[in-house]
Amino acid sequence: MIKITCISEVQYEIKAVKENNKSFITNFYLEIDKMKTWIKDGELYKIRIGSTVFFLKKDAEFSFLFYSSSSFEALGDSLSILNSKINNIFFVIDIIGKEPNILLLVSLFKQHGFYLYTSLTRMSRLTDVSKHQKPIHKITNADSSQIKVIINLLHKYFDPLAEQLPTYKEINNWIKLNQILIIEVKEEIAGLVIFDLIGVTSYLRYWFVNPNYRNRKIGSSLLSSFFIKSAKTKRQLFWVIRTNENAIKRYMHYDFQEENLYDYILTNKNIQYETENN
Amino acid sequence: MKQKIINILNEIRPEFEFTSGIDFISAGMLDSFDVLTLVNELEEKFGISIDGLDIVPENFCTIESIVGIINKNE
Repeated sequence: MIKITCISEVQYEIKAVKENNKSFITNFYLEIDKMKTWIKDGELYKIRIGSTVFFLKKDAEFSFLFYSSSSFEALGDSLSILNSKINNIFFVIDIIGKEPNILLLVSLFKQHGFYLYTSLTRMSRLTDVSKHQKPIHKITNADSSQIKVIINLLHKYFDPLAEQLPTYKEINNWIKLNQILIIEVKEEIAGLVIFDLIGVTSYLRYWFVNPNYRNRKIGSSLLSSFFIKSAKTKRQLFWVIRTNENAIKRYMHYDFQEENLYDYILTNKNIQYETENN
Repeated sequence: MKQKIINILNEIRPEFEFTSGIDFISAGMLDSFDVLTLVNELEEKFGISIDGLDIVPENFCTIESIVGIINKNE
């Protein structure tokens, strides 16, 4: 396993496995800024096995696994070697795509020592300003004094394997951009939404109501505020855990539709997402 | 060639209007997952293989840059 020190190393590895092969497959999406941060923080590693290069993004307790391979068959061969070579790292892998194609990849990973942890579905809707409702609660922007509280809430109520919890730096950045909205009750955060606005698209990253404050329309107030903030975008989208039927029903109530785009999360430990996390 | 590229983009993200001069990534019309889908579609529909070094978002953010990358890899 070799630590990556610059972005061109990533590009050369991808070039090497891709060369002269049109059935190239990967789950390593090209978010250059994010990748540069990982490299700068010493978190990105590579392992080259045959015609596959694996990239590992180290987290505190596990490593996100990415692959770029010259073909489906080559990936299978490399996975069997990866498992025999490295059995002391807790891998988490996201396989994103449309069904039924993606199921072949999921099956390949299962054949080579990976287990399905959970899966997410992407939902989206096109903006309909006429349906925006005013929130009934007072909504404010989170400020930097609340970063630690927000981190604690996310770590307590969200799943780090399935929901890619943000770093201190990312939360601070959202706060600077006024992209964390909160409702406070007695100086406690009763609920929050975190979102990104990128041109015509807004991404709902986290929508959360503290269990102590549920059934008070806090969630709908937060979502209304998110829609108002997204009024200039053309679509809103987010990922939700597929077994979270209550959340999916709520989103459908707000005109979100599933896109037939799924994220299967697998690990090399036989553990499963706990639905009570919802 | 431009119309063929627009048709591919419309298949990937039918809700948007893809025209010349727009940066599709900073405009939020394409994300990183869409870029990889686009790479696969371009390779299949233009019968090319795009060099791994060229697969960076800036090469796929406008119609003009996509034309450039197709010409380079033909």
